[in-house]
Amino acid sequence: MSRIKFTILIVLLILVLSYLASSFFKDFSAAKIDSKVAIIPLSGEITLDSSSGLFSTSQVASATDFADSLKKAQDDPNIKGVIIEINSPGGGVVASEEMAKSLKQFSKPKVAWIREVGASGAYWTATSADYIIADPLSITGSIGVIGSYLDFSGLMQKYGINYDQLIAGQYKDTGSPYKNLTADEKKLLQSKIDLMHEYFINEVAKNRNMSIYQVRKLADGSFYLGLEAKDNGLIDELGGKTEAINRIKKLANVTDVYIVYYEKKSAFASLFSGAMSYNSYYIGKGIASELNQKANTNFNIRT
Amino acid sequence: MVKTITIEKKQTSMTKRLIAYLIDVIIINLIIIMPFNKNLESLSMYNDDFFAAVNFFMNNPDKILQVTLISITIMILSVAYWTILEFKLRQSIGKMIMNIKVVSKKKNFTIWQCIVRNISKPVSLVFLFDVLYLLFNRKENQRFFEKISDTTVIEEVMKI
Repeated sequence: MSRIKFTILIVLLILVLSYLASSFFKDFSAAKIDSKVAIIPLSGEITLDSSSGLFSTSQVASATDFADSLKKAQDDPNIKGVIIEINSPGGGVVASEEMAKSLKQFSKPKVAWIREVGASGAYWTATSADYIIADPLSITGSIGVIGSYLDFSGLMQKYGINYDQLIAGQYKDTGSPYKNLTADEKKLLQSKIDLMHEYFINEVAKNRNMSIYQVRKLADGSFYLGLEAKDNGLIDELGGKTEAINRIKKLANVTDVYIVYYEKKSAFASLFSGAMSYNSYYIGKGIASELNQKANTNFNIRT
Repeated sequence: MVKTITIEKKQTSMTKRLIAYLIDVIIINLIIIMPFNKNLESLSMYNDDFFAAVNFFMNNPDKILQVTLISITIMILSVAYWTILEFKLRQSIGKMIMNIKVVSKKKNFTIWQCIVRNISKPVSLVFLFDVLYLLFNRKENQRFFEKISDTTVIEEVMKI
């Protein structure tokens, strides 16, 4: 047999073998590839943007990243629904509202799965899902708003440091840490917080199909364990990942799904932050942040 | 006037070896990897996202075995392509085009020598080491696995 004939024979033989082998694996192939469910994490304090620089070590739930993940899931025709894996105590008011809104606008089936904590702003986001599942001992609820700031005026007085600020607008320096909060200022801030609280209550009532009266009764800021939340209607089912997957399959009307996990890529430095205690880092960061706040913007409001 | 034709065997240039390898890789892509495209479709969406691919496998462990079996099949067929052609013809298609051939440094040229010299090619990291050995040992003109198999690649030049 000539060299060329032999070469062609071998090439054809290998080609046939490849097709045979690929057909053997056909059952394992992408037969059900069109049914996927994305698990999107919501972990840490809720903020508008993450600090995702090269040396970032913070673990926050960014509203921007969350919206991006939802858009990715919305645009992917293979994604039949999403499970929001929640482990967050809440966070910024606007960030929480943005997250809840993004989830509400997501048109495919969505299940919120609360793990250790899904409270305050995180619970608000969960209410935008079609179904909420939590562990019996999960911490949830905490439908309230907190506003706080540090008052250094006494400390400054002790060391003879005076504070003089020239303002136009009576309430312009409300919340400044260098002076006492006046009764009027306190009343003003409280009215804003009450307004936010009312908004939060209305949103929860709308999302959970409950009356405002029912939600207001529960919205004293206290948290509820999963068991309690099931009884008072704040969640739908007690369970974990399995229950969440089963529910999303039901909602999406599919019998089998591939799970894909939408995880934010870790910043370089967070790979080395394992040894650092999470809690002590945030205590230190929190105190430092408070001391470094600009004078007229450090009144901090959180859900 | 009688003319004498001599065939001079000389060390192949790295360029010719590289081009021959690339031609073979293209052929292997066409005849071996392309038939598996449908099977590997599910992974193609993770081309740009290594972490998403890792998460996909962590959440779907049954796919790991399947992908492993498919990878092994592709590796075996790739080695078979080089082995059979080089054993029978001393040349793969790429080597034919570049007019270079495999020779044994021993008296006989066995199929085991062919298998050993080509076994590193489907595994990128191993092949990289193999090629680096060649780069740092140009005098010998052998990859590491060529040294183990006592084979080398030469060029035959006709001189009149």
